[in-house]
Amino acid sequence: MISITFQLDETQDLKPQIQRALAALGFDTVTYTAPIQIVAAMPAPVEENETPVAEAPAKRGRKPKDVAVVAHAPAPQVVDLEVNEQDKIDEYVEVEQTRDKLTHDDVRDYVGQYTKKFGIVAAQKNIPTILGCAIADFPDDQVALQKAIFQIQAAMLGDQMQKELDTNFFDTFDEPEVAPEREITEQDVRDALMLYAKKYDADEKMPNTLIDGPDILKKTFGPTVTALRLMPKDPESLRKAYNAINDAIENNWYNRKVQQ
Amino acid sequence: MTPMPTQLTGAQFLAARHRALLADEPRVGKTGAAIIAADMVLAKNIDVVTTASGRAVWRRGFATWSKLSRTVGIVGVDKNAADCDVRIFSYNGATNFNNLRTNDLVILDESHNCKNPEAKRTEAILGKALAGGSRLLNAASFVKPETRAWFLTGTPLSHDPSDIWTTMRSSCPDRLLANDTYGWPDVTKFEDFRHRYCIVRMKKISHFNKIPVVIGGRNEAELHRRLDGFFLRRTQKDIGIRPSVYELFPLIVSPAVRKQVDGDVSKAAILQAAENNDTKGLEMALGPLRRLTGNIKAQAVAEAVKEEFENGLNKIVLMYWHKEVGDILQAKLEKFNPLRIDGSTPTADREQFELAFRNNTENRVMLGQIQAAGEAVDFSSANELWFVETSFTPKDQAQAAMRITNVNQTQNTFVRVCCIEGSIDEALQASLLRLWTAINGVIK
Repeated sequence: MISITFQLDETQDLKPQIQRALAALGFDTVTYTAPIQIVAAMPAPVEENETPVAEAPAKRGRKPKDVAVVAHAPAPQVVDLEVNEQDKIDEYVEVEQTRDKLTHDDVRDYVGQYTKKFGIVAAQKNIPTILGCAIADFPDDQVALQKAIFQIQAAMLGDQMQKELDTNFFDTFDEPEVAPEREITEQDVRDALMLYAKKYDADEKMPNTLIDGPDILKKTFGPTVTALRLMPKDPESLRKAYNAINDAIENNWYNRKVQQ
Repeated sequence: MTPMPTQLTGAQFLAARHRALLADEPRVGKTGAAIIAADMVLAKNIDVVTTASGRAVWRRGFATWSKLSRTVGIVGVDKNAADCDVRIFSYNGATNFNNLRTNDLVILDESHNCKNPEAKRTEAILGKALAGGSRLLNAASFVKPETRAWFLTGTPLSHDPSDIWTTMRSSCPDRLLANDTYGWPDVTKFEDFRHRYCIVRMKKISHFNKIPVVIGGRNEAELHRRLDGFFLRRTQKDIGIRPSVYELFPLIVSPAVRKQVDGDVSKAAILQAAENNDTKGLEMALGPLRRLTGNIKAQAVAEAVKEEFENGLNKIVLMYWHKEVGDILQAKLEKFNPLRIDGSTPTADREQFELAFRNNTENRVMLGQIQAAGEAVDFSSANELWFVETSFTPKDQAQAAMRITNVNQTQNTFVRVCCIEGSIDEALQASLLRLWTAINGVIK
């Protein structure tokens, strides 16, 4: 029976002391519970590489070359997930604590990110407002520098959120976009007149349309415009004529008898 | 790029001031500090005035240090540079430029170039001094009264204390006024300033003509107090000994010359050969272009070295490959008493040259052929080494760089690889630099 004694400093944190002592013996991970109880597993038997050459009976003549025998180090047998998680947290905290201190250069990093996003002109205008002073005027203490970084991050994030809201939220409640109106052609005006004829004329000679059509145009464009060929052909005029004819169809301007 | 703590404090110093002088020693990191500070004050429209050889360095500096997206152009080199956010000028270029833009910031690099109040460049950049300096006409100059301006120089008093007057007159004239509390006189006028802080003697230059010559300084403590808070100076000692810096040093040449350098070679093939360490492939692909590029670079490097010496550099080692390149450098830098080691140098002379470079202050340039001077010599009295040309074998480069980056070195070291900006040479040198700095990274 082999007894191993550790000497620990009770005034210090016990865990790292135990880990160091065990690591020196080749045990990497241990489980312990309060009260501290070290459960160190017996090392696993040394596994030797099974090679036929190594196990082959000795032959006469030249001795076989030494074959590398891979001896696995005693594997740590006791693994406690909770401890591993805690180790990770401890490690993270340790890394965070030992990380280089923040400097004005870190603030400059974030200002750089801000300018990449919004441009230098916007930064010139906004950064002093965001920080409440110039970068160089920030006191060289960790809290102030961390605060400056948070403020710049918040400003970037705030703007991002505003953009998200603008594009994803408010757009939902905006009035649906009105599709741009189709451009009216001369053919559309002719077709409208044909519809008028279809509704108010009984035969193909279109007597009512031949009277009402010129009158609709006169009412729309003035007394000189009595035929399609005399009508201005710009898109706006064509639309006016088209709308007027359709209105006449709809509201029966001349009290004609509806044929269809 | 992570800034050094001294660069951050330098940047904070500048950013907190409308006008300031950053007087750090050469190679302490003024360029990076100023660019970081420009970010901190959110400057968009920036004019940088620097030496001719510094222009490409500043362009690269903005790409390296700035976190803000700005367009950068070198006026006189790039098309539409005048419309860029950051406009980089040489001092001569700025003198002849009709500046109409209102800038957020003007950076004067190596600002001792504006020390002479009567020089055209000083008038164009800082304003014209009238009535001996009691008035300053600066409404059309680069540094207007409302413009934020930072002065960078490692040698603010390059000759005598009066060199700082132009900077103070344009940027902190209130510091030149009389102060009854301390008993300081008004030194707003240049001559008053010079006589207060310099010992001036009249020197006879002919039977009819005498000129004032400064032979020393006085009241230095008073001038120091007047400047208190306006300038910041750190030395190499303040930043401590840091790992060697290996970087490209882009040289600007005309588009026609750049085209000549690029020739008809396949850029892709050359870069591929460099990546694959295919020395023979590179030599085949580049052929005589390599020699031509070396000759062109030698001319530009000689000018850049002269500027570096003016800006405070003490000694330099220049490494080259072709003999012709060594000849050009030797001729152009003659006044700095260059020493030269190449394959034809006898062993006894090598030792003498090495000793002379170490001990003699007047021998400021060491020219070394990469293979001949790349081993078994110590040039650590210099802390700066430039490769005017490079070897295609990374091992040669790594060895040559160690002539200054060795254990005898007591200063921070800078190894720069000269390349022609925007040419295939730049891409090739960047590729080679990655390879051989990896060697030095391992065996340092």
